[in-house]
Order: sequence, then structure tokens, then C-alpha cells
Amino acid sequence: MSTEETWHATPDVLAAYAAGSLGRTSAASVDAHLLVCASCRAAIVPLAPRDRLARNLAMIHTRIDAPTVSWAERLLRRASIPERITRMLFVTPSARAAWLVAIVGAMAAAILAGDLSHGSERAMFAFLVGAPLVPLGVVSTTFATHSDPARELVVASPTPAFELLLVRAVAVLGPATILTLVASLVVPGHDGDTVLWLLPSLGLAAATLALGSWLPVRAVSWVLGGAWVMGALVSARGAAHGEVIERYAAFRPTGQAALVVVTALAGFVVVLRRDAFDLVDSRRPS
Amino acid sequence: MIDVSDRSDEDLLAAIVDRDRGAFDDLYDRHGPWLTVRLSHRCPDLDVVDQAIQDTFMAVWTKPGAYRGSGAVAAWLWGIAVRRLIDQLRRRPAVSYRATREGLVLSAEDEVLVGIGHGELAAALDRLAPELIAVVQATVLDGLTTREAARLLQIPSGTVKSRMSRARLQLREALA
Repeated sequence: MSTEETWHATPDVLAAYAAGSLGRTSAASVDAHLLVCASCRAAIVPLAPRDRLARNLAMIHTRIDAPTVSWAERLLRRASIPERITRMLFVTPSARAAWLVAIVGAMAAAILAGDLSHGSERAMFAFLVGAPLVPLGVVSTTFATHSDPARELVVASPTPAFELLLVRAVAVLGPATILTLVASLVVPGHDGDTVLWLLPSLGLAAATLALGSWLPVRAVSWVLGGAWVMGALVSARGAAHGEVIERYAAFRPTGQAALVVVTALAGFVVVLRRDAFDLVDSRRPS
Repeated sequence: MIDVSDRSDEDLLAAIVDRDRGAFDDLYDRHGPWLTVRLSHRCPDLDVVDQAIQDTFMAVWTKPGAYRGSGAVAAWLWGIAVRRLIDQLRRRPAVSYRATREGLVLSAEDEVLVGIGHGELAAALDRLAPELIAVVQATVLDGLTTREAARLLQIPSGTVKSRMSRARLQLREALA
């Protein structure tokens, strides 16, 4: 193809080619010629549609400068989740990353502790009590908007604040729950017990949100989380070997059933009182 | 600022690999016009052509390393552009870059065809039936594979092959 061209398209032919008025077969030979002839390519520049070329370049620049959409966000959008929701999920990646790092670290510590104690019952108990504190912390931080790096966005958003906060809480809780679930399956021993933390997690988070519609979320989360841990400590105190876990009411079948009820009730309250979270926003000290 | 004409296409692409926006704009100024004109001949909807042009240069910006240095940059660009146009027309996932060079490998016979003068080729092509011209255009001139040409022309691959052999026969006779 690098053969030296012996002829060049005449200005008339090029003008007709650019205007689209050249016959089909003549146009085909210009097509072929342009591929190998830089001077005829250059000669066509002033004949090409200048406005469209400029507009296309501007569009290309815009696309180059546009923020790259992560594969995870594209996946969610393909699942027909509206863009305003996906944007909210991914608007503060650093905050989310910090959370995930913290959670993974906590889980690693729990697994390590379990390993060091050879899968002992007390290590398992510590894991089961500790795991529900993770979602509690997430809910507390997300809904206590003064610590939210995207607070100004939340306040200025036309989306109801409650929906916004819920979406952002779910964005952290989703991966966190999956990670914790994975961790709980890796923790040695006590096969049936490893998922007992799941219902307390839901119950604590939901109850915090429900009460948080009247009271400051952060205070509520401290009180409930504290009560949960205190209850565990009291229950474990003096427990005979082999029944540390079973002694804590929350881990017994009746306790787990009660937690289902608590979660459902709290969820009901939260939905009923969702407007309160908008009030929390507008009442915030300026 | 270095003048556009001072840098070869290959140099511009190498600079684009290093995220040089000026080199990218130079490459666009040099190749955008003829690509736009040529694509416009293939598709009457100018919005579709504009979209294909944008996609083409986005591909150049995101993967300038896809140019392996074999063959002319212009031919490489055309290979991308015509496939982006097909994508736009068919609303299908992008054809892989790898097909680009393979599609542009011309047989010795085709090279003769492309190398011959303007008047001769035009006269030879003129004698072909319109459906044969379309196949020659898609495969020989546009560098599409049989399958891509079939998709573009919306005919079976076998038909592309049989029309192409008929066209070769007739062209050989006309140019002999």
C-alpha cells in the first residue's frame, strides 16, 4: 500500500467528493486514494463541514473530561436503578472506602482472635456481640449528618433527605453485611452459631433509626449499642463452659424471634416517620 | 507549539499515549475531516456519523496503544471509524480492535485494485452491478471482514463471498 501515488485527486473531484455529489464509483476510487495519500487528505480539510467537526471535537473533549463511571455504578444503572440514586451511592467513595477498611480490619481482628483462642466459645461470643455494632456505627454516622462529608449535597438535594440517607446507609451496609457474613463463615468452629449476629444487627440498626426519628441518632446508637454490649457482658459473666452463647437471650430462638418482631416494628415506624429526618436536617445548627 | 505538519501521525499517537491533548487535537484536525466526509458517504444520517466520529476519537484517546505500528495510521483510523459506524447502525457491542488490522490486509489482487488510477478503477467499477459494487466497497475499499460486510449490508456471509468472487472475475476481465 506504500506505493508512490502517480496521480492526485483534482480540486474539482475533491470538492465534489466532499459535497457528496461525486458518482459512487468515482467516490470509491477517491476513498481508496485517501487512505494512502496524505496530501489529498490535507487538501480535503478546508472542504469538510467545519461546524460539525468543531462540535464533534467539543463533544469528544467533554467526554474525555467527564468523570469516569465505575463498573459497579454502570452495573447498577444497567439494572435500571436511576442515575440520581447511583450518583448518591458513589459520590463519596473515600468515605465509603474508609468504612470498608475499618470493617474489614475489625473482621480480620475477630478472625485472628478466634484463631488464637483455637475457636474457643468466648472468642465466638465476642465476634457475635461485636459484629452487630458495625451496622449500628454505619447508621449512626450516616444519619447523624454533621459528620457526613457529603452533607451539603444532602441538604441541597431535591431528593427527600430520608431516601438519600437510606440509600447511603445501604451502600455501606450492603458490602459490610456481605463481608461480615463471609467472615462469620471463616471463623473456626460453631458452624450453626456463626450467623447469629445477623438478626441483632438488623434489630439494633432498625431500632436506632426508629428512635432516631424522635431523638438524636448518635445518642440513640450509643445507648442501644452500650445496652447490647452490657447485656452480653452481664450474661457471659459466670456462664458455665459451653453455654456462654446460649445464655445471652438475643442468641436464643425466642430472642431471635423477638428481634424479627423488633426489626419489623422499627421498620414500620421508620417509614411512617420518614419526614422527621428532613426536620433533623433543617433544624441542624448553622 | 510545534506545527501540525512537523509531527508524523506515529509521533502524534506516541504523544497521545503520554496523554498529550495537543497531539490529540492535531490528530483530529488532520484526520477528522476526511473521516467525516468518507463516513458521510456510508450513512445518510449525519447524527449517526457524528456519533461514530466521536466514538472513533474516544477510542483513539483511551487506547492509542492499539496502534501496533504496522500499516498507515490513516488506515488504522479508518478501520476504527467504519466499525464504529457499524456499531452505531446496528446498536451492537463494539467490534474488537483486533479485527482492525486483519480486516485491512489486502490480497495482492486487491492491492492492484487500490493502486490503480482514478479513471481506470471508476470505469471498471462502473461496469459492475450495483449489489456487487456495494460488496467491493465494503470488503476491498472499507477493509471490512466478510462477516462485518454481511452485517453492514444485511445479507448472509455466503452471499458476500459469492458476490465478491463474481466482482473479482468481472474486474479482472475489465482491467485485463
